[in-house]
Amino acid sequence: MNAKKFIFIFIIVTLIFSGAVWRLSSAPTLSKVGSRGEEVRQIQIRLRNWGYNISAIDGIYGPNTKNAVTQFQKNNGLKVDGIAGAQTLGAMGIQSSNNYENNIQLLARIISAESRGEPYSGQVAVGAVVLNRVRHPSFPNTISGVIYQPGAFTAINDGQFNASISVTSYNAARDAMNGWDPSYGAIYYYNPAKTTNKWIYSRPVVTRIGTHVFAK
Amino acid sequence: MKIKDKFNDFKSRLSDRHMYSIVLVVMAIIAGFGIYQYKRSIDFRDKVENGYRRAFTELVHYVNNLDSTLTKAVVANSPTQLSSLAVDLWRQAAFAQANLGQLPISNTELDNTAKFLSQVGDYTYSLSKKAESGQPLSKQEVDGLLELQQHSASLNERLVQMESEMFAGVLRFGEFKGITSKIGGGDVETFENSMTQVEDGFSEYASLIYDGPFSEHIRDRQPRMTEGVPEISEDDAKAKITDFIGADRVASVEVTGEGNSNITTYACTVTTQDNRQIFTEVTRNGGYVLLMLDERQPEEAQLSVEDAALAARDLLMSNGFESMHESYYQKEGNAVLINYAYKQDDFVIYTDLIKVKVALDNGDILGFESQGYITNHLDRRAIPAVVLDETEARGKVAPSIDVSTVNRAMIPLDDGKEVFCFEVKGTVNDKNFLVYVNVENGNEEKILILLEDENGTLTI
Repeated sequence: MNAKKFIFIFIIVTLIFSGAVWRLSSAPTLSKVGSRGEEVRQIQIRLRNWGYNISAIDGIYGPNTKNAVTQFQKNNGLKVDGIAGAQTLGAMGIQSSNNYENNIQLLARIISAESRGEPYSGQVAVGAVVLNRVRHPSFPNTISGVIYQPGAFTAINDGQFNASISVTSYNAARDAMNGWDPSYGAIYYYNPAKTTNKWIYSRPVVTRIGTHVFAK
Repeated sequence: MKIKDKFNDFKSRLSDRHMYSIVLVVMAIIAGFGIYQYKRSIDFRDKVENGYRRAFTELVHYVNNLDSTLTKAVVANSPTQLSSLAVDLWRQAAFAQANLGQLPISNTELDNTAKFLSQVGDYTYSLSKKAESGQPLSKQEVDGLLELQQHSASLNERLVQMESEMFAGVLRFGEFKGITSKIGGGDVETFENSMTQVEDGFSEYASLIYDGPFSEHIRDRQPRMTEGVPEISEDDAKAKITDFIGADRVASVEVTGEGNSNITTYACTVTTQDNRQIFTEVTRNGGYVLLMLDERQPEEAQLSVEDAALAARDLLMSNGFESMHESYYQKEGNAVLINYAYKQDDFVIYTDLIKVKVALDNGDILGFESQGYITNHLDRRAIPAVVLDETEARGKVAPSIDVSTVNRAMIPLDDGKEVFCFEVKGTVNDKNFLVYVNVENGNEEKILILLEDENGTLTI
């Protein structure tokens, strides 16, 4: 091995390490080509109602949706990039119509991050646990207070919280908000296969849905 | 040594080709980058820790105020004084709780401390309401206040001590143990440990019983419909749910678990003919369907809300829920959620609530929730004598409200009490309101805002 090669490898290795230090910053996800989900559906519904050419309301941001968004941006004097960012969504009247919708979004976000892959009732139950905590004396009194409480939900810290929200999570959040509570007033849940917290096992178990155990 | 040889070989080769300088420069860049990142992480740590410190010092401030207000409340002798102190306490306790919720300490360790802060304002408020209505406080109630005061005193003492330790730098937030212990060195007590000791002081915190939303007896209320009714078997539950969803839709039913809350249930998972799964729960006693959740999202809407309501009413009737009154509905995509409340005589009984979600493509029932009904329902409630008439009820609401209709309803208050009221609907500045006026004494019991849009009606 000659020295030049060695130094070359040395620099590459260094770059890889420093790359690892720069953790991918988790910006809020924008609806653009390739996106899927409830937001895309909303965009499609609105654009179709306004007479733009939308072939299917399927929640998939394909070239067809992109063209319609681009056209919408041209017509409304917005920056034309085919990406439905904050300004475009605002012009469509999708973003934050009221606080109730914002709370649904927050709830959907935590459901999506905490219970991906769980059965639907398990997802609703996770949303219900958040709402049960809001009403419980031992927890903060707002949805965001409960969700952002330090140490309350692991998904808050590992970046999953800012990942894109699945469509079913939105529906689950709405059902939970409307009073469906498959957890029956539970204020804790855990995955017995993953948790190491002994204290949590001392809580009376209410029910079990999917991999989660719900407790009071 | 092989490695040593290699290293020497490498060194000589480097010097042969005058490469030391390059290696040095690369190393300097890496070191510089490291120092920069390290400094940034320290900056962020300080920012976050300052946020925690602020939350903590505010917590101490409010607990301190709360303690002195509570001390005054113990000796307060007039309803006016007690209620003004109660308002103060409520506010201080709420702020203290909000700040507590920001500290990086897992809630499981602060269970009772947080509960204490929630209940202290609630409890005094309920006492002050009682005092205002002219009833003297009982010995038990005064003792309760005294006990709360002792707890607040010890909490205050411990927190003030922690605060001075924090200012002295011997107490730090445990989240940064990895970084701080190396810089700070020595014995740095973590917040987590100290707060656990605070919580220990609450281990004997008894459950308080009073007329407030956070009181234990309201949270642990036993459901009326399932009490003293015979238990059903798993097979009965399966039959019940097949019947409920409709034998033509159901392929198979499996009991997949049980619910052990105030209401004990069989959790049944239904597999439909089109191979989807529907989650349901049937009460063990009495075999009532408590909950049903179908995640299907209808693709299109062909039915009107009226058609959907017909389907929902059919379901209620065939399951023995009679005299149910449609109150509000909310469209969600291509489904509609309709609220039903029991109606006795002319009164809509809002506690006896059933929610039904109907698909607008084929009229299938997508959701059902009857916890309110199962918990509260009575076939015949004793309705108090209606002293006021409608005209008098209209006169009780604010003159600025333009009244449109007056109905009768029974509503639950925060403390779980049921009151019979006139439901006066009216508008102010294009906003719709519901004002509830007590039929016996004309008290304004509750005000709701109605949010009506093209998707339905929502109350807040």
